[in-house]
Amino acid sequence: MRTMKKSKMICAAVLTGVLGAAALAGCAQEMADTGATYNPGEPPLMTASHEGRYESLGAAGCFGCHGGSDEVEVFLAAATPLPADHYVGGDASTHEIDGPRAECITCHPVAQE
Amino acid sequence: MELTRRTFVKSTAVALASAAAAGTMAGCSSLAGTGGDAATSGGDSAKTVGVCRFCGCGCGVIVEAKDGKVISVTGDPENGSSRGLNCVKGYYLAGALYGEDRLTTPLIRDDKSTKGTPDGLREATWDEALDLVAGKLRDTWKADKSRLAFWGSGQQPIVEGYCTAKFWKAGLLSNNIDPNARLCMASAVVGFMNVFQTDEPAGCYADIDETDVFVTWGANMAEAHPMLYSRLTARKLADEAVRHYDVTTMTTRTSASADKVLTFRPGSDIAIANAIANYLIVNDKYDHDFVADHVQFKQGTENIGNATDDGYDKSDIGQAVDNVEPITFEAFAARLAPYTLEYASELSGVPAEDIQELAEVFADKSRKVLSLWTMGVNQHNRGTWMNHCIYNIHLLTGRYARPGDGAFSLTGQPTACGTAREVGTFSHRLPADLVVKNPDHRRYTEAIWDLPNGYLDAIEKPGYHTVKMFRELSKGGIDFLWSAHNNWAVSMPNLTRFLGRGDLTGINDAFICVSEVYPTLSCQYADVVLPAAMWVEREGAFGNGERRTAVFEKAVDAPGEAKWDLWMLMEVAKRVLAGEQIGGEDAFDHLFGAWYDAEAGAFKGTDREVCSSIWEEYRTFSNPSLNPDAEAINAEAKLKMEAKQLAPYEEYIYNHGLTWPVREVDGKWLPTLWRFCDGPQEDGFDEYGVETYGEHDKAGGVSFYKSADKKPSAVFRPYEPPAEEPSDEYPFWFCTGRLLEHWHTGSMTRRVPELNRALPEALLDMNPADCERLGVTDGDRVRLTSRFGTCDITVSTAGRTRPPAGMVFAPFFAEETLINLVVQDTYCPLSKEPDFKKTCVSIEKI
Repeated sequence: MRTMKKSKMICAAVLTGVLGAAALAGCAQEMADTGATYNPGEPPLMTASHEGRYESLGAAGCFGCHGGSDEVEVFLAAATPLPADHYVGGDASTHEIDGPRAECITCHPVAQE
Repeated sequence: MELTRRTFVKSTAVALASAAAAGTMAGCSSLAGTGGDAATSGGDSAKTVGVCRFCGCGCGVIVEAKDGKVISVTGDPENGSSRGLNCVKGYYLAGALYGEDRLTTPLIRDDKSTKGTPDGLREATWDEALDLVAGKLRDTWKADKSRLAFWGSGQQPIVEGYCTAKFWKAGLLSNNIDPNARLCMASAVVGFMNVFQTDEPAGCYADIDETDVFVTWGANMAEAHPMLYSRLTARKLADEAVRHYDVTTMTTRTSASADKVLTFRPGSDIAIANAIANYLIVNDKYDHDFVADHVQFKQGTENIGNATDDGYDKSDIGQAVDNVEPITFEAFAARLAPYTLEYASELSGVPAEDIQELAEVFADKSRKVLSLWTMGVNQHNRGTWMNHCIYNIHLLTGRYARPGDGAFSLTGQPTACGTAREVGTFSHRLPADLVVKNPDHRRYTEAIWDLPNGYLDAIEKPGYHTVKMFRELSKGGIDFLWSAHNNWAVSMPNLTRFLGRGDLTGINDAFICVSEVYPTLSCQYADVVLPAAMWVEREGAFGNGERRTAVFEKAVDAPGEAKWDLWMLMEVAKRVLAGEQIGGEDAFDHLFGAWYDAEAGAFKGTDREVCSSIWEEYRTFSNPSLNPDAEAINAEAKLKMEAKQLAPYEEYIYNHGLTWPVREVDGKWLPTLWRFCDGPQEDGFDEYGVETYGEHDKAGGVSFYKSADKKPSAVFRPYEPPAEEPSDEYPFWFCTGRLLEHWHTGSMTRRVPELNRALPEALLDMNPADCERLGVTDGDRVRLTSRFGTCDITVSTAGRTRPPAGMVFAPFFAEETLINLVVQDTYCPLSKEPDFKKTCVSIEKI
């Protein structure tokens, strides 16, 4: 068995340091808006009230409440924010969503209940 | 520093995003590695490298385990296929391991009259279960080996599939082994073999990032290949000039990114493709140089009817379906001539100007075009033919095997390529594209398996393909069936027939062994259920749709008494082969003794060592220099086995997967991304292959060295109507397929609460106009009836798909709906892959 390649290890270490991530392994995460809890890596479902929003608004509609941009001041709405890895270069300060992450429903389907 | 409101919002965004990211990085430690033994107890978490066990995308994942349990699954940025991406199924993989009803003990059914019910299975010891299974298999083998069968899967990891094929073909001398990949990829396979004489896509996923125009043919990538669809939409977002044409029978999520949706009448895609090819020739918009350098033309047997009746394969026409003959380019053009834009429009319902627009896309050599297709093309009564027709367009326009400019058949399952196709668990195959009917191929296999010369002549005739296998089962022609890594009682078409039309005659008569992880519907028809270790509960490897082989390491132990499928196979094989000899040696030891100690009932090493040992034997098929006898046969018969060269096992772990052929250059093993494309190996091109077998400086910078005369075949295939068409009695087309949240029959994904919350029920998607006409509304229950069977289902006009009037869709994941009761088992006469997309049904409110 090998360890991760050195470059990726460094990136991971730097990112971890920058983010100050010292959470314990396996910690569940509570969503700011719904109170639902998810294990690390598990993408939260959209709530049932969001049915049809992605189809009608696209990623911009999601970003409007869950992302940061110059046009909207969204975090005051207490919506669950996008993690850094959803931004270009893994940098939330870019306020620009990473291309493949724009297909939001691929990972965040709507809960039917 | 003054904190403005905007900077406050931005800084809050960063902080919150960082916090969210921290959640996903929780417990991040270096990949600890276990070398094949689960080592996650003792408090600290350990991370291992894995591959998602669901679709053919083959997304890399990092698996984190603690205290013997997988606690998180995240994307692996070092996996070249997915680059850290995944979909919702992949991120919830951990949950799939921990359903409350995991099978942990062998089960035996003593009373066959309980078949078809949840009752009647009792707990047993492994010895009792294995003795029973092996005894039944041996009895059948000795009595009449045409009455035994193994139904495998495109989800069976590579080394397990390799050993199964070796046991069945060399141990039992039986070709009655076939995978469920017959249901999804067989038409693509036969298409590849007919056109290129090699079963493989020339391109890779990076084509998606480089193309200018996407053409999806019968492919709902957004639901069935989510990671790749995310890359497709990312490519469109990155360049507003990128276009997407969706050629489909109904609007799906994939249509959302399309600039134009060409909705065609089911089955008429061949007419559209032929009209495009005809337009290119008539208007002199094909690539003359590419055609001259690389393409030969053929036509084949036509008027082949439909493979609905049991006697089709052995009928005169059934025996002639593979025949082709060379024709000139002019004759090819003449065959296409009737396919005017207007004629194709008349057949398909697609406006002629839209077909012309798509033809012009292919004609425009200033832009790269990538065709992507999957089950709409393959699960088709002319599936192989439609594969041909797509290649015809790309070969005419010189768009094949070039970065971003190609035709890419997407794979359905995680290792349909790696196991079913590359290992060769089909009824007509041997490992590495070899086929049982070819004497040179048998000699080559005998050399690597150390079998006496001529030993495999006993299996020169292919065995039962999947549909034949289950047709035989349903009418009492099978005495022993072992199914593993699948759920046949939900996924097979025409279940009304295969579940015995109610009287269970064949099911009751046969002895059925099911290896499973959860109590599926297939278990209700089993005589013995063997509880299997699942995914990272043992080590394994998958081969995905872009020729990438990747290893998933063992992360945790299996629950209870659940065991590795490979162990079950070895234990059954040693019992069945007891007292048998091959070349004067004990048969079992001869075949499997390198990695299994029969007396001890245990492997000779860790999972890692076992997988590596088996892999090293398997990769000899593509590295003939490792075996002098094989090397001599390879040279004499010009088999070009190095063309699909595989690397040593450890290289796949070190590199988080590699795309074959993998070439050793200056001590490093380098993958190939663009097959047959001349260029530096270190940049992903097929330098070694072209240099060894091909030619430089040919049109397009490609050389198809695996094809006969180095020229792939453009084969004219005519439009023929579907096997059945809507009538007064059955006025609707019915189409079935997958949706995002559930993998195949839902046996794993429905155990994940979040996935089940997102898609709890299989609904019948209908057009509102049809609903109004029938007097049904959302939520109404209706009875769906075809010539084959009946099922009840709930109506929706707000579902994932938006069928046109006269067509309905429902996914097949829900066993309580069991949609395959109504689906026809008519198959493509060439590939024997069933047509799941075009059954005619009636709809009645209940």
